[in-house]
Amino acid sequence: MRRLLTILLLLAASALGHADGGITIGQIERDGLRVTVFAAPVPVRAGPLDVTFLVQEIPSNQPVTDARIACSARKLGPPSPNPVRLPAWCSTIAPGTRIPATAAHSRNKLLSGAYLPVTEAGRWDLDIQVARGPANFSSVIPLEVAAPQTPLSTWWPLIALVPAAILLYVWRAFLVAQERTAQKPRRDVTGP
Amino acid sequence: MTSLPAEPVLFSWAFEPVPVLGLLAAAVFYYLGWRSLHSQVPWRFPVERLVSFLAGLAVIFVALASPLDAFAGWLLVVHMVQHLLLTMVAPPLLLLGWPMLPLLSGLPRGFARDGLAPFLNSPPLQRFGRFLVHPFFAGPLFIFSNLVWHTPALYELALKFPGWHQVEHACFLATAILFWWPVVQPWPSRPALPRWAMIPYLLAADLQNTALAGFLTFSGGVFYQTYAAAPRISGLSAAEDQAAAGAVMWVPGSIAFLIPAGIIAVRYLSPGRNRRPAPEKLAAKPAGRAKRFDLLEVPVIGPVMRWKYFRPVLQSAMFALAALVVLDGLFGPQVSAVNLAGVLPWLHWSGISAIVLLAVGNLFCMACPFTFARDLGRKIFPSAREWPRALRSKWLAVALLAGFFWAYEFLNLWDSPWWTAWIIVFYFAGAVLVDGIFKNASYCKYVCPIGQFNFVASLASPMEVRVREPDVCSACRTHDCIKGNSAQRGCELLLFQPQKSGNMDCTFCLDCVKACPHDNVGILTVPPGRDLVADPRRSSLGRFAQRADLAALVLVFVFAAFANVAAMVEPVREMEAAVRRMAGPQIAGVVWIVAFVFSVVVAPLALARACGWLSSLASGHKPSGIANGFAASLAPLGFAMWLAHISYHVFSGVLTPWPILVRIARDAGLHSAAPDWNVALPVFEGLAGLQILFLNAGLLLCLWILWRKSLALTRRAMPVFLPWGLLAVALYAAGIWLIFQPIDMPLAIPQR
Repeated sequence: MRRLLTILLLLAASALGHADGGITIGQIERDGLRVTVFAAPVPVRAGPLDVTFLVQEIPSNQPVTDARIACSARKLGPPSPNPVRLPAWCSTIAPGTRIPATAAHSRNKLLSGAYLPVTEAGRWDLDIQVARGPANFSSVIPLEVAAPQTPLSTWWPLIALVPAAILLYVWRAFLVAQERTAQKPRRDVTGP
Repeated sequence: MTSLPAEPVLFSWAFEPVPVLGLLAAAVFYYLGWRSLHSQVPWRFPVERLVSFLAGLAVIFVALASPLDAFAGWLLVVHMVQHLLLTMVAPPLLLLGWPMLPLLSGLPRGFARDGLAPFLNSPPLQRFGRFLVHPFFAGPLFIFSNLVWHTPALYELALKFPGWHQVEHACFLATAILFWWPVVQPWPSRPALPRWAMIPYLLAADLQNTALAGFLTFSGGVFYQTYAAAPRISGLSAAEDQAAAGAVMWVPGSIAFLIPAGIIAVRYLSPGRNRRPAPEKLAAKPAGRAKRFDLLEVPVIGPVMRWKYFRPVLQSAMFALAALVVLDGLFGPQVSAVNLAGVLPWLHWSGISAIVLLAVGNLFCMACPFTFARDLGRKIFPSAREWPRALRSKWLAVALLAGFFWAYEFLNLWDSPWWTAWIIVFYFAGAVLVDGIFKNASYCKYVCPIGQFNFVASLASPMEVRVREPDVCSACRTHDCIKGNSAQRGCELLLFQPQKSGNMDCTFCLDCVKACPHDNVGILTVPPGRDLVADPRRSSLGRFAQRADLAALVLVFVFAAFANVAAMVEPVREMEAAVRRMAGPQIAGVVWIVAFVFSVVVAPLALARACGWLSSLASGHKPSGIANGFAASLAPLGFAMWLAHISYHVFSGVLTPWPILVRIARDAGLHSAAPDWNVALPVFEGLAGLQILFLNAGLLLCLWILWRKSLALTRRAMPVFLPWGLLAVALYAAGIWLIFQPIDMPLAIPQR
């Protein structure tokens, strides 16, 4: 059992973190630059949208880290009367705000990125503005945004820790009771 | 040929709190256990074991947090190196540290004894553990995991979804630990097969590794579409990248299997393989008596905290900061986000206090600037009177604490630098006046709402000012800890150390530490919440079960935590606006005052009474005694909610004072640069997860205390426990709902 405990402890110790994730949602090639755009979550859902950009020179594929990128998300069509409520950490960014993409946002420092508030499902446009030296251009990438996940469906594994811990406690109580019952007859045999 | 810029690549590290804290905790627990075992059986646990285990943890950290992980999604060869570290390097290093006993010994003793021992002693679970690491199970499982996760469908799944990527890594690490277990055979586990059997065991694994590596290297096509579509940041094409990954898997991977196979073969064939240590070396040193961690015995920290002027220095720094806040609040711009009075007291001070309460104890009261002013005032005022007998309870403090919460919500204190400044001034005046007239620390004990807040929150703290050796106190006749002596005053809160239990009413002033002639008082670790289970007779407080005022204080603290967040979330704000539209502002104001009084005062007291009555039906004890004693058990849940709420403010506003300080320096003519209000917002996607973890911990601690208290009353504990347990779960559910709501909080970002 100590083996099991050790393995569990080591696994708990190495509980894994998020990496820069997402899928490629578009690529722009202009003015000697190639901009690859990634977005998370997969699939793209209403809520905070994590967009990241990789800028490379054409044709050398040399990654560029000094380009200035700004982006914003724009809803196509009439806005919904019941927009998605963004989580607390993102709710202070007004929808449609043009946000500069920074390397600080991403873990992979060849990327620059930002969180954009996407407040409802449907068709959106991702407006991107790129500037580097003489190159200065804008582009639009269409986005199909799916309905949001409820917070409960995102965070249920953490909430489930409570019943799991209670079950473990009940199991422990059962084991303790079993051990006590197993010890009782022995006491009777040895006697006073 | 593309050359990657070195700086951004080398700086692509991630410091995710969960893995970093997890690895740190494993290192700390291992070290604590290893240190104890090393002193008893040094030949079994030499320094090499420690180094090996820590190196294993470091390898995991590098695999998960270094640029390897950042670029694993673009280059298969990098991803392969990451997987090799997790399966071939980290597990053997960890197991060479013989981690079982050190980890077990390093965990808190009560947790290991009461929480883990029943599982460790269970014969079916012991058999299951042996089965898991049996070579006939661990070997095929490792091979199966390796093959399955390299199929394109599952590999793509892991590349697309971070959650599945974590599952993949967890599978690799877990199956690798099981696989390497019989090879390393960490003491005191016993081998299931003879040692020579490990040679074919390792060769079989190498065979599978070679086959898979060869397939990747020579197949020609690109297996994983993500890498085919990934931006090419190196000179390698997707096919070359895959071939390189195969080569990495093949050569270093095979070496990782063949070296241990070779070592085992050489040892098995060498004539001295059965050599054992000399008998005199086997004599273990007796285990010393386990000592609790004492903050005052930590090098550097301990002597600094015991220094005569430590508290005055801390207090004077806080006093200077408070003066700056008051000046800016009164004379600075009346916009909370650009004024120190709108930011420091409500975001940073409360945030730091909460973190310190969680990690240590009530250190804010130790650094309290108000008592600093009081001590200065005492040089003028006589402080000769006794505090009125009628007021020697917490009722006044309960009213003031509820009043403080009310003022915070309804006067929008957080949004008014001017009012914030005046409250601080009133606080100073109150402390100087009350303690200028009355003896001892009457202000702290009976009046100060912040102090009461900290006292209740610290009921769940892991450290306590308490005696080190009770035997020393029983021989003491001078009782300097409470009476004081010519050089040092005693406890002004009237807490007699030998009979003190828990943190209620303790300001961590350390007067008792300095007064004790036997150096027998320290800041010791205590199991959080254990004091609430036992409810002993406490010095100057008595039993919680007999103190309705203390119960009321805890209930206001707990329910205000939830009400405070509720008042900030959008659904409640919208409801408030709707009431205002329908009934007009004046009636709406009255409605909200009634709602506040109901939710923070009336409902908690009524619910506690009702739960106490229901529990008394099953136990036969007095309802009031149960209500008082059990209500105090809700304190950890209330603190967890405060912590969850405050963590949001800390993360959203941690950098806001900087431009304000620049603005103040400019206003004072110290420089001319304009402040940049576009401070970075440390957005933290996992914040909701952290908040849920706080609430989980609070609820579980609360339920555990309630259950143990119920068991102490009667053997049929469930009916006694149930009303309180349901109340705690209902509060937890409310907390989860509140966490998921958007917060309407203009302080979060300064003007942009």
